[in-house]
Order: sequence, then structure tokens, then C-alpha cells
Amino acid sequence: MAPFSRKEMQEMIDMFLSEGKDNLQLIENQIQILEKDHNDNFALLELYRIIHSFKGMAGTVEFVEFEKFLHSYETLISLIQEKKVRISEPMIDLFFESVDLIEKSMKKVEKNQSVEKDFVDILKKIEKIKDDSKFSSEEASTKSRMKELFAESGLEEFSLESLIFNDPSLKFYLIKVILEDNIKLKLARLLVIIKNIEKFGIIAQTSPELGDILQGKIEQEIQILYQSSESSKQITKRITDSGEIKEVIIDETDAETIRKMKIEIEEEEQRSQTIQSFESSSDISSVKVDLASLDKLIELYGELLIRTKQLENKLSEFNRPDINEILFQIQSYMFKFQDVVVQIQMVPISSVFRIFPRMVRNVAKQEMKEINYVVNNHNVKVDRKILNEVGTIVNHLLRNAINHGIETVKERKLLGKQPKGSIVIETKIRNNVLYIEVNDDGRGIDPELISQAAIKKGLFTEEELSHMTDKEIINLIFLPKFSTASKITNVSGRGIGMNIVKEKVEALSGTVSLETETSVGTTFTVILPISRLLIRAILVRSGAQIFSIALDDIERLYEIPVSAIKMINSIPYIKIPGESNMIRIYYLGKLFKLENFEENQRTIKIVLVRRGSNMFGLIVDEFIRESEIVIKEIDDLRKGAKGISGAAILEDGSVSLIIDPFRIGV
Amino acid sequence: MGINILIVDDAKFMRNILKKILSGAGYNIIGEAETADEGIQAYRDKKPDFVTMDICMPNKSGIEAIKAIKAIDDDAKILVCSALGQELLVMEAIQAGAKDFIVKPFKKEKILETIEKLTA
Repeated sequence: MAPFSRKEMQEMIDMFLSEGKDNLQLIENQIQILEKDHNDNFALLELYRIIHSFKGMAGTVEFVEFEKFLHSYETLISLIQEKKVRISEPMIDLFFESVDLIEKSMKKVEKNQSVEKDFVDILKKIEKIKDDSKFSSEEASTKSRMKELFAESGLEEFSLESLIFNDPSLKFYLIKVILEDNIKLKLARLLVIIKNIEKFGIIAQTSPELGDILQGKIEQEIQILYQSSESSKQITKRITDSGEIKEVIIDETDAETIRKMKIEIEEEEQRSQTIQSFESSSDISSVKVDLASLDKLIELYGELLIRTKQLENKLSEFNRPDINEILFQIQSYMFKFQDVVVQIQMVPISSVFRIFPRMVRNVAKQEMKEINYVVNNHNVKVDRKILNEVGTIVNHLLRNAINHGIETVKERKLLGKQPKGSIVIETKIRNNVLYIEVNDDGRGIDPELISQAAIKKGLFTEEELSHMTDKEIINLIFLPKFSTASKITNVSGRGIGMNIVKEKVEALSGTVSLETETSVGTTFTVILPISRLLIRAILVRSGAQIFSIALDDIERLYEIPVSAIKMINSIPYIKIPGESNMIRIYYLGKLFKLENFEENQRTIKIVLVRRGSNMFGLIVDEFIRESEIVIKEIDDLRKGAKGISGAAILEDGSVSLIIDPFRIGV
Repeated sequence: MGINILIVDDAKFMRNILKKILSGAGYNIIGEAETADEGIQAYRDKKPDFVTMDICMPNKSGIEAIKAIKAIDDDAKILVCSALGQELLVMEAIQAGAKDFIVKPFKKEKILETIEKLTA
């Protein structure tokens, strides 16, 4: 065969590059489908086809390294098709890594640079997967099925996220189970134990970890981190209902210890990820920053902001327009700086959504339901500090949708609906606010059923309910301890009501609402500020203490004569124009047990706070001003006083406590 | 007044051993089945208090039988009897609703201890 002329070769290379780009996009699309559904055979076939033709093109233009890599990739896909290798999360990561690598290498080809060494690492990784599969494809599928079985029984690898920190009735336990000597089927034994306790609490973590256990690293002793409202005696009984147990040692521990442990584990993961990414990155377009440095940066930014405000105050005493001009410039840079700081904190929301497809599949299966799960993320990014909380909130809403929303296949057929239910999550950002919608096409929430449950639970009387609108009745699901689940399953039976969602959302200064229509479906909408760095707040004084209340929580400020207070059963109320109900009022100073706050003045100053339909007034000594404050999280404070969500340092150096009026417990 | 037990196992030898151990301890053996389908039918007919279930049986496995029995009676108490090297199958059986398992070769005390606990 006559060799190609240089011109012909260049033409072919150009074609390879332009078609390659299209192929790359197609490859990425298929990987995204596979990420959602590891068993999508059509996507696999398509992926195989594209890579195969890409390989042929690379061979034609004599890009040997490309060809070799694509060949290896292709054989991996065929192993997956033959079910000799199962797709795993790390493999999906590897697929995405491959796309990045091909893209980078094509850019190099464009610039006539050598790509000889580009594929060495990834080839090794692919070959390793293939090697492992030769020996253990059967074992791998066994392991992965075992993992599924554990997951279906409430033990998952990421399950620390499922712990609940704001329900004091749920106690934390560290359980040590010592098995009898020489027992044979330890994994099966662990599954029996897990199943015995899963319905009565949350199994958060085991030591050894599940991954290690599946690798056979399980000895006689297993530790379980467990959260439950049951006593240690009850739990011990449930565990020893299983055979082959020598001893159970159970210690109750406190939320703080667990929280610290969780943070340590997360930091450890972060560190190992950082190391890994350093090892594998050759082309540096971004650097990893450890979280401590990032926190420091934000803290320093806060300090700078405070100092400039101090300077501005001080400067107002002098007539120096020239210095004022410089200060003005500094402040405008500070605003730009702030944007950057906020951006650095942002991480893609998709990272926390990754575990959901599997969860949806598992839970749906348990519930005998079929669900088409779709996420439209639109590249939304959120503050890393709220990321995990967002994950927990969505997790609850999803589980709720699967458990209570979507009907079983049988029910849906009877109703003339598509047998497969649909859950769609939509996330978007508008005006610095994050919207998360969880939509299902299930049975909807029937106000009649909610009313019945509310009466049964003794929350309301029939008389009281008769004055409520359907919407008000439906919103009762957000009340603590409200659940319409008729029987306890391991999905709904964990005491996780919608009230937890509401609490979590509100702890992030957000709101949650819902739209529902019987037998059409339900949409929950969560609205959250994307960043927690700065908030606009009103500063108020009670006694000697200055408090900050987020502007979002404040309906209005009032100054009214003390005679306007109406005492009903010795409880103080005020009447507000435009509001049909009387509004309950409280002395802020009394709520925080302060001394020397002003009582019995002729006029009183009231901050009217509202969140949803919940509204009340806080009596303060003084309205100081509106200000932008930098939130500093202070753990000690949180522990000490209910309703304190952080602290802010003011221009004069004094500390203002940021209060969340709806968590004071009034 | 005693506790009624159904034994499902395709091997006569195993059924005999179990029968001997269990009746020796005062349990009533109200039925024996050598296939999953027979076992399901026997459960329906005799409503035993307790079932011992082999996993590997011809045609239909013990796991299928457990699922079917659980569908008849969600409170059914089933003990899986398994051979070594079937860990995944044992786990599937537990997931299907078996309360516990024992591994062949059976030890008398082990079986009795387990059944006592589960029927308590």
C-alpha cells in the first residue's frame, strides 16, 4: 500500500481531530447515561460503537498510542457487556478521566506535540480492572450483590450522612459485637444482626468499614455506630436474637463525639482525595487548597471587612474627601474580593447527588415500585458548608417521594397511569438563591388523610381542622412526629418526618414548601441561600447584649404604646393591622435570661418575625441599624444556647449574637 | 401444646437428622417437604410455627420458597440450613425474610439453641 502523502495525512489528521471532538461528546453523553444507570445496555452498545470507530480512525492516522488506549478501552466495554466486569462508581470516574485525557491529547496533537506518555497511567488502570476481572469477575459480582443486600438493609458506605443531630430522642450508640469463635459465614451473620436492628434506628457506620468487610477483612469483633430511640437493653436483646454471638458491649455516646468523629472522617477522605489528585494530575489548571487555609482566608476577609467599616466610622468624624475616595476604592475592591471568596467556597451540587440513583433503585425495589429518576442540575454550585446538609435534605425528600408518593406498579396500572413512576429533581440558582424541586407523579397528599391522622394523633380536633384550608392541613406534615405511613418500613420507619427536613432547611435560613394534587403528584420546593458567608441583618439591643436577626426573617419593626398590649390568660399579645390573628409577643431579654433589659416602658419596640405562617414579636430595647454581617460559627455558643446560630463581630470589636428566632423554642 | 415444625430439604438424610434432633427435644414435626413447592403447599396447609429451609433444592430454590411463604404469612419464622460456600445465597435468604441461619454440618446444641431463641 502506498504511503499517504504528507498533504493527505494532514487532511486525515484534521478530520480525525474534528470528528474526534464529536465522538468525545458522544462518549461523554453515554457515560453520563451509564453513571445514572449502570445497566443501560443501549448506552454500553453505543459507547462500544463510538470507541470502536474512534479506534479505527486513530489507527488510520497512525496515532499508535491513541489506538492502543482506545483498544484497551474497547475491550473493557466488551467485558462489561459480557457481564464479566460490573460498572462501579470508580469505573465511571475512570471513564470521565479518559474523556478528559483524550480531549487534552487531541489538543496536543493539534499543536503537533507528542502524546506518547499521556496514556500510560490510564492504560495501567484499565488493564488492572481487566486483570482483576479475570480472576474475580464472579467474585466481584458476588461482592457487589452482597453490597446491595447490605444497602437494602440500611448499611451503606456513605451512611454517616444519614445521622440526625437535632432530635434528642435519638441516642447515639457505639456497639461492639463479639462473634463466637470459628464461625463460618461472617458476612451473613452481620446481615442478620443488621436486619435485626435496622427497623429501629439508623445504622451509620461499621468498623471495619463495609468495603473492607466485603474484602474479607472481618474478624471476630465488629463495631457499629447506631442511632436509635431504643434503650441499650432493647438493642442488645435485638442483636442477641441472632445466633453465634458471644458478647455485645454497648456504649451510649453523645452527639458531639459523633460529630467530631464525622468531621475527622470527612477530613481524612478529603486528604486522601487531595493526595490522589496530586498524584494523577500532570497538567495543572487548578490547585487543591486544604479546607483550613480556606477557612482562614474567609476569616481574614471578615476581619478586613470589619476594619474597613471601622475606618469608615472613624473617618466620618473628619472632613477628608481625599481619604474617603481611597476608602471608597478599597471598599469596591472588597466587594470584588467577596465575590471571589464566595466562588471559591462553591462546589458542584452533583457531587452529593451521586449516591442517589443507587438509593432510589434500592428503595424502589424494596417497595415494589418502578421509578424513572431524572436530575436536572444545570451545573449548580453551592457553598461547601451547606453541601452535606443539602444532600441530607434531598435524601429525605427523595425517600419520602418513593415511599409515600409513587404508587406500586399494580396501583398505577389500576389508576391508568404509566406503570413506571417518575421522580424529577430540578436545581437552579436565581439571584443567589438555590431552588431545589423534588417532583413526583405519585398519589399526591390527600388533605382528608392528613386530617384523619392529625385527629388520631391528637394534634388537632375536628373542630380546629374545620377552620383550616386544605393547604394549611397539608402543611401539617411538617409538624414534628407527623407521619402518614400506615406501617413502619425501613424507609419511613426511621422517625424521619418532614419536620426534620423543615428544621434542616430552616437551620440554613431557607424555606420549604409543597404543591400537591391528589393522584397527580407532589412537588416539594426547597429554597436556600447559596452562601452562608454574609447576611443582611438588623442589629438590636436587649440589656447589654447586641443581637443580629437576619433580614429575611423580619416582617416589620414596630414601636407601639405599651397600652396596645392585650393580655389574654396573662399571655401578652398585640394586634397588628392587616393580620386577623393576635400576635404573641416575647421579651427577647427574657428568652435569653438576660438582666437589666428594659421592661414596663411607655412604648415598646417590637421586631415582628415571620417564617411561613409562623409569626411572633420580639420586644427589644433598641433598634440599632441594618448591617451586613460576616457569620462566624461558634460551636461553644451553639451548644450553650438554643436559637443562637452564630456570632458576628461588629465594627467596634464587640460581639453580636446572631439569633434564629424560630429555634429559640418559643 | 408443643411447637410445630416443618422441615424442607431435598436430602432425606438431612431431613432424618433434623427430625431426630428436633423430635428428641420435644418439638412436633408436622410436615416434611423435599421441594420448594411442596414446602410452600405444606406451609399453607399446616401453618407450622417454624420452618427449617434448605437453600439448594432442584427446580425452585429455598430462597424462592422463603419469599412465597413470607407472602402467605409475613410473620413466618424460617431458619435457613445451608452448606458452606453459599454465603451469598444465605444472605439472599435472609434478605428474603429468613430469621437466621445455621451451617452444615449441624451441631445439635446449635440448632436447638437457635430454634429456642426464634420461637421464644
